[in-house]
Amino acid sequence: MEFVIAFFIGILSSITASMLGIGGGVVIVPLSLIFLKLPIHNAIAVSLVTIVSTSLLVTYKNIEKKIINMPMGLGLEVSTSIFAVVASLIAINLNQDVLKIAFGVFLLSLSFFMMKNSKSKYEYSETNGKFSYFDQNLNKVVYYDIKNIPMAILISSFAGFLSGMLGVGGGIVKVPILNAVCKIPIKAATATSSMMVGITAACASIVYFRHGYVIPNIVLFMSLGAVFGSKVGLYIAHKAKNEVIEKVFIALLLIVAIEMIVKALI
Amino acid sequence: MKFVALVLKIGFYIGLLLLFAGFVFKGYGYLSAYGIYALLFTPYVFVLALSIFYLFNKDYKIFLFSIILLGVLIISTFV
Repeated sequence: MEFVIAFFIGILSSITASMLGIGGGVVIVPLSLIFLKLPIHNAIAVSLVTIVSTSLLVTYKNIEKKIINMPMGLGLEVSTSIFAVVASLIAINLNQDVLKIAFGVFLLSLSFFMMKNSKSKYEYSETNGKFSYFDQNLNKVVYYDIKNIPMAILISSFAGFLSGMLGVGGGIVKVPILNAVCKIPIKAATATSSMMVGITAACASIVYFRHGYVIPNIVLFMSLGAVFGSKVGLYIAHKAKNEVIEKVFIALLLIVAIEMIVKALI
Repeated sequence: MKFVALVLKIGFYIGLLLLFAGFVFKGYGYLSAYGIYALLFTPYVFVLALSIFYLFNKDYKIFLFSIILLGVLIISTFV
């Protein structure tokens, strides 16, 4: 039964990722805690390995489309990986309740952030720039430059820390800031972030794996679910109204966050 | 670059195949561990492949980034 649940958690995380751009750890960790009754360290470990496996396929597709900004991705990933490993080393020594409260606070902040930014669209420069990619929707080549690199390093490192500590990908932190502050087009920011997320999660999850927190069979079914869900998610994304789903998702995040904090405190 | 990207796809399928084998053949649990290793070390192999790709393309700046990243990844594995 637990494998079926793991499969559906994988599907759900992938669907929310396709529709709202938020998936991975934000969905996997709380649902694993609630429905699979996993201890939080195991939930984080399973989430990180699943993020790696899904990132591999997404990155493969993005490389084919030539959207990923390799110099930026590789450059930022150095500090991100260091912070992810440090955070995972801290996390494995932390009490379960402390981690649950940290995750709850993270989910609360995320839901408030989503409420605030649900209607805003990020603009980007389309002037001649150093980097470019072909946008299939616009049917033209988009040029751009990277601005405010120190800020990008700072944010990326913070995302790495979150990834190692809480088992989330960190894309939700990275993508909006890379787009809004560093003026990177949203597609390039998302594609580059999804490549970085895989590398970050891989080096963080090795720490968890060495300590025996990874459950391979759960990872298998979650990864299969995520692969299946990514195809379903793209189909639903065209049919459903994202605004309604986003509101439901925010409400669910709030409920889960409060439940996690209260349970940890009691 | 397509060849470099293939590393990711191959790593993913090898990882899942080993995990599946470990799940089906109960006495061979170590296959699952190999599956996890395959998934986790695929990004490492990918970064290595990238560094080789950029070295051969004489893009030394990105080559340097990828080599530094690879070094960080390898060191972090043993921390």
